[in-house]
Amino acid sequence: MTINLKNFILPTRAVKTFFNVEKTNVCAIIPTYKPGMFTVTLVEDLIRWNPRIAVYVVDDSTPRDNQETFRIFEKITLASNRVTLLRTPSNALKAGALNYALKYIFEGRKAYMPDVILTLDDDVVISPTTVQNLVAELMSGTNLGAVCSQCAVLNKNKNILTRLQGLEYLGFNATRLADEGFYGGPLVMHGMLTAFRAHALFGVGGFAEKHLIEDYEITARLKTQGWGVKAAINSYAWTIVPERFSELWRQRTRWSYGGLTVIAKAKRAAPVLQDLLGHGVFFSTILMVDLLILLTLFGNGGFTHPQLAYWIIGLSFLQVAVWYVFQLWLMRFYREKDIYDWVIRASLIPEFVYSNMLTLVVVGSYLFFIFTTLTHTVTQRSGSALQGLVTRCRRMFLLIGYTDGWGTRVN
Amino acid sequence: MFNFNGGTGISGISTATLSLYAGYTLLSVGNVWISIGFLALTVAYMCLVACTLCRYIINFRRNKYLLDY
Repeated sequence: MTINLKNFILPTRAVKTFFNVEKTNVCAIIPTYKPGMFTVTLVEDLIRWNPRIAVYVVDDSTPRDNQETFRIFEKITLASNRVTLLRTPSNALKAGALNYALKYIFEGRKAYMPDVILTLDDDVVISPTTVQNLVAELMSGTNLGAVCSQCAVLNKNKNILTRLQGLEYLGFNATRLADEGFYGGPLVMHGMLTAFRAHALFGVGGFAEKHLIEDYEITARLKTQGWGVKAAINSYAWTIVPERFSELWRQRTRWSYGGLTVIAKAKRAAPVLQDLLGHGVFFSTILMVDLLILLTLFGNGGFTHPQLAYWIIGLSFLQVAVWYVFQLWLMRFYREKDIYDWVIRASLIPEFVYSNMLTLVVVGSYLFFIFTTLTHTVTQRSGSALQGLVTRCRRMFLLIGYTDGWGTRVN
Repeated sequence: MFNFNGGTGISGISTATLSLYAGYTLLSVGNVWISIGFLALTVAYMCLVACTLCRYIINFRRNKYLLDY
């Protein structure tokens, strides 16, 4: 993948190919820890609506300390003889559990070789055509390594925070569509529901364990190996989003800092181009604003032609206006919307506050990234006093949600 | 969100409002190089927005048939 400016405006058109959907072997892997009724429903729906699918539920060492857990796993097992229940030897987090199932499929069952492997979160809700449409999109493009579903919020009516996330997810879906055919496709094939071409997934060696966002990481690796990715516009899935601010903050610090680590380790620019552009523009703007504040506080006053300032203001207003009209237009695709969602979107203020809260998350992740990069060297070379200081700083970061040591699931 | 180009940490970044603030500040306290720098950044971000919108429209038209089923 080389940088091609034409691709910024004109997305590459995927070459469609014929395939027989009836003969496509599909399996689904659902890693789970302390599953609830959502997982049972998900397994039953997968079996009911997809007659040939094989489902692997990976119990990531859930403690068997109550009857309810036993009942849930019993219901999952009894859903069909196409369901296989696996259990990891010790808690391996999401990527570890996925790899455990992949190993089981490819080493233990050589007679059965899936063409498509679905990875799902255990609280996802699907529709009758979700999997079928996802598989159809994946298999119709020979260069596609993965295709993800649309994302919607199941609990969006819970409070204003969940409503804001519902509107945000609508934007995520739009961004993924805009990125189709743009340098390999969308930035992240999300962990909620993605279909992988089996030999592409094994070609990249499965999921990176102990990574903060393994879905972004594997998407970048797929693109590095030449595979394209996309989102299926007609494959709908719903998930539960954080209902409390503290949970949302922790989720977003993980996404934000995890994203920086993926960029830092990327071997080429193209697979993470959208992030590079976004961070580049934002970081430059922050630096310029800092310079301006310093100039305001300590400068002797200067002169700039007012026309320059008016152009900046005019272009900024134009950008906000274009954004606003587009967001209103996007509402037509928000199936679950109600009057409150319209009020939130039209009034601008709640989303403005929300977006600035997320900006703080990004700024914090920059600081934490700089801290971890610097202290990586310091801790190896220095004495106990400096190590103590680093530990205290690390604890402070942990207090505000930044850590490089947790997995996808925190319970 | 004030963003068109996706990314894991970018969805909350409201560059437009930062540029608005910068524009108003530059009217009172000015530095020609900072002004030019801000203008370049604003134009760059505007171009990203425009390109993303173009791609969205093209891809939407290419995939629209899938929504008809």
